[in-house]
Amino acid sequence: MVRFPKQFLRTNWPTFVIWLAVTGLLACEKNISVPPQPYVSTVSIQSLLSPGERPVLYFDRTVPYFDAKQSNVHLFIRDAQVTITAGDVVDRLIPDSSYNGFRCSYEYFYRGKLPVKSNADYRLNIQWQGQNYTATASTDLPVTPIDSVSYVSSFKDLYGDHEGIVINFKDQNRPATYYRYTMARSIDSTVHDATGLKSPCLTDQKVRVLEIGRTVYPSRGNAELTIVAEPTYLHKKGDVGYIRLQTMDRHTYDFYDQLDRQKLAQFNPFVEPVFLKPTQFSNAIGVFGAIAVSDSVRFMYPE
Amino acid sequence: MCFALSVSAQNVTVSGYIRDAASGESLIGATVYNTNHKSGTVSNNYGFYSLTLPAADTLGLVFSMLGYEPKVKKVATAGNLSLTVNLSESARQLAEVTVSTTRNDDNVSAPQMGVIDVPIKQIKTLPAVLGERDVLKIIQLLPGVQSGQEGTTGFFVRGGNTDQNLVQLDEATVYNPNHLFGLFSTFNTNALKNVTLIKGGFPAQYGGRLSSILDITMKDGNNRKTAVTGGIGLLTSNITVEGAIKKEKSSYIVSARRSYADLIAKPFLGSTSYYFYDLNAKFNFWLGQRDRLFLSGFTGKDKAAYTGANSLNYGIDFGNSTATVRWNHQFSSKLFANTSLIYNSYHLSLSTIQNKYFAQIYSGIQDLNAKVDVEYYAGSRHKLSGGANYTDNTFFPATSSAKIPKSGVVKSVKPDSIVRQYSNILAFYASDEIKVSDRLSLNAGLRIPIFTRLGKRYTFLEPRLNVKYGLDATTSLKAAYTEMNQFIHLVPSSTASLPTDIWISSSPKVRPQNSRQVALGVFKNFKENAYETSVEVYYKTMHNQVLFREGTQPLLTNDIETTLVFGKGNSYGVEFFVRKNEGKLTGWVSYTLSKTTQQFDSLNFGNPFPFRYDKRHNLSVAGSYELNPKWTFSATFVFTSGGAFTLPVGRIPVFQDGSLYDGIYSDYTARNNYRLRPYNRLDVSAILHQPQRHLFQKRYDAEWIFGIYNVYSRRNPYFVYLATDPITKQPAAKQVSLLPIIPSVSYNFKF
Repeated sequence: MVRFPKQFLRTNWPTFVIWLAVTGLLACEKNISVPPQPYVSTVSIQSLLSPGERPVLYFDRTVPYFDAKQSNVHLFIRDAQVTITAGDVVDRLIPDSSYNGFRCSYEYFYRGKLPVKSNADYRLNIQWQGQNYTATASTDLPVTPIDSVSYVSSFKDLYGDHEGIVINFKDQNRPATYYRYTMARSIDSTVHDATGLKSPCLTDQKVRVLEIGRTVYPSRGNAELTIVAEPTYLHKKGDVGYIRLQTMDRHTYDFYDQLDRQKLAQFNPFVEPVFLKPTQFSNAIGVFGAIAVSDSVRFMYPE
Repeated sequence: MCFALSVSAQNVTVSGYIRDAASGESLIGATVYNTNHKSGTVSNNYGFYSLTLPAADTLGLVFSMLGYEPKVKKVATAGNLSLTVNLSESARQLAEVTVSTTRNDDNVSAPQMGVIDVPIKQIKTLPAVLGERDVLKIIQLLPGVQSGQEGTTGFFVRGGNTDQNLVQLDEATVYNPNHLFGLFSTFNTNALKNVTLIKGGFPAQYGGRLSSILDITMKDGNNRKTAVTGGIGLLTSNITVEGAIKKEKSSYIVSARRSYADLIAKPFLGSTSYYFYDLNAKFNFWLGQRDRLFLSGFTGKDKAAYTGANSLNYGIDFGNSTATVRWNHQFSSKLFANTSLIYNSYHLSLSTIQNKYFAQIYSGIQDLNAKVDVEYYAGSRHKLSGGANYTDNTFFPATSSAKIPKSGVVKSVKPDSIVRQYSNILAFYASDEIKVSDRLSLNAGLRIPIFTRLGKRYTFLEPRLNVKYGLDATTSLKAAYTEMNQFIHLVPSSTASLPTDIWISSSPKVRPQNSRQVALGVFKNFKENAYETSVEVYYKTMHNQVLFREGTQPLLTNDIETTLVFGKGNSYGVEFFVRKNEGKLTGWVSYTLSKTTQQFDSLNFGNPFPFRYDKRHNLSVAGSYELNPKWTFSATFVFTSGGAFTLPVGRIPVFQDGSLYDGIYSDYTARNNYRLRPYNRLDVSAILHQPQRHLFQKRYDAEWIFGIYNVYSRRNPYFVYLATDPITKQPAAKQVSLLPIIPSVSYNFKF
């Protein structure tokens, strides 16, 4: 708070009045408490079946917006009955966890015992607190091999000006096919993510992370396709990553495209907000889909 | 006063002009009342009146106007009579808003409803922001009219968005009538003669907007002597010079205003800069007894830059310009015509940065307009009006937003590179003001607008009806029904805090906005019209309302029309109004209880949601107290419910390790589900009158105006946004406010 001496006010009152007027034109910003509105918690479900991999399913509860609980450990629902059925084969999923080296926390999910088979129809059933959540997925997606990977230091798209991993591949001649990239790499404490966040626990010792592109690209119909994906974490010259391409189904696209558009609106204050709507589940936000993952391509950051 | 005779069979027509005795200004809305037959009329926008009466040996005529001494004439009527009358300002210098005790009961007797005249002199007695008296600030104190949040421009009438108000200055459209943040309007009060707000029961001559007409007329200029008025304030100064080019035949008025915070307060402003100016000029010429030519122009501009709070960084440049040529011709004592050629342009260029993202807006409009309006005073029971209007519109909108590039350089939008949208509107109208009986009168009209763009033509019939039934001499019931169509759209951003709204034209894909409004009212005056009261209820439906589709990101490559969604809205409410026109204490109280909702199939899960500026309660109190000839005190108080905005209610975790952003998403359950804190504010001012002072043997009047805006320094909300702690991920709501207490002092003079 600026204090003006009385003598100053006596002799410089016009200046003082101008100062007051000008400060009046400047914005004031403060935290306010927003009264919570009634909120009926629902659940969030994500499970992408990948042939050869054991099924993994994230099953979390949603919470009021200003609720202090926001990590997976608090929100994971542990007491659900989760089964995935293919024909007569029933795989009962059980709670499991893995350590996220960047966030320095365990992430909880359900994992099955039986590897997912190709060209099979799967049915998900979750029972929890009297509610049933069911969906189906088919693992009949073809693997789309990557032709080449390169790097561009500056690329402009919907998300602005950013670096990019350039992935070239031959599009599948198949309707309702979608693509997303992943990159497995090791990072240390010098790395922060694209939003500027640094890991609170990383040391010089490197940990493995899996980057998943936020954008899902639709098929163009038997064309040579190039996608430029913004990496999650920053890098140094010579860092190595292993790139894979996920071929996805329509349910997966619908869900992640919605998430992507909302995230864009959350970060860019000039984008209209996006309401997440149930797509595959009538009583939950989420997806039960299938992906086909390509072989990895080694990639080294050239700069 | 001049007399001219012509012969008529059974009736006699008295016609002419009513003027200000001191300046020769024609007076709009002055009342002519015939005491023989207890009937009357009012002067039109050019001071012309025509009153047809049954012949009598002697007619008693009373000419009156708010703030003027009434004049009583007894005239022999051998035939039609041309009678021009000069009215003198009320003898009590300070009783500026006193109404004479003669009839001035338009609010009760006229069939039109939803019409409020705001006397310029009343504007001059009420508190002003930073010493600037302001038309729009007063308009926002009237029933059915709401301001936005502090810092937003424009005003909202009966649930309509700001684009649904047609603001006209000497018939030229002013697309943005405010300077930055709505602190000041673009209208310099010293240059204005009359302000009329129509919020329902629209006469057929007006069209093109759904919610209101704000008709502002500039002064013609003193045609008797040179006069200079001016004011020096803390942030702005203004000067107005008017006088006769040829005495009684032609006159001019030039008025200019500029802010100078950018000059004198530069050390305090740092990276902030701001200035605005506006310039009005008007010339008028009498080309004989029956013809009059007006040339008027206006230009105003704002330029500002601010880098401060994370939530509010911007560079903005916007302005309006208008030019009007008008020709009045009086064909006879009963037939009056006006022909106008009008040009206006508007541009807004905005660059703003928030949370590492930028947005750029360019919105440009240019109109060319030609119109003819004819009034025929058919007899004592009919006043016919008709006309045609052709407008050629050019829009050039562009908008873009993305993350700030690594270089930090964002290329500005070049107006010349924006694709033009061309359209035109041809409209015809006719109306009749009919006096069915002493108790029952009505105004019935029809307007037919024809809009054309890209080969698509929209033609509409817009019926207009106002009915008045007089219960007694001081009480009337009124009803009105109107249909309106609007061919331009201001697409509002639901998230951005700055005026990032963008104007577009209707098209084959974007259907014109349409409204239907029904209003009923009771009007009652007390104590010889010293007190006016009214209660009005209205119900309005609006179709083809436009909003951006969910997730729309402005991109220069986008066709804006493909990012729009269309819906409907409705608004209903009740408006109470009490105005005291006489005595030491004058002013009014208005209260509006209203509700406005919108419904879009593709927004809010298809459910209705509150309009962003839906404010349930709106109370305004404006008062002015004349303590003695030296001092006048005034105050205004406003209270409104908070506007609506959208916040998520829940959070949805989506954990799948390593996606680019974290895995918490927002669960929105309803659009506009939260309310800003209620808005309230008290402004006060004191005016020290110093009449008949002398400077170099020249007499002049002066006044000091001391004011305080927002007396108790309430931090009223401008907008609320969400921020998330990057480490804890805990979200927090942040409220941005603009204006605390602001004292002001200004000095006005008049030679």
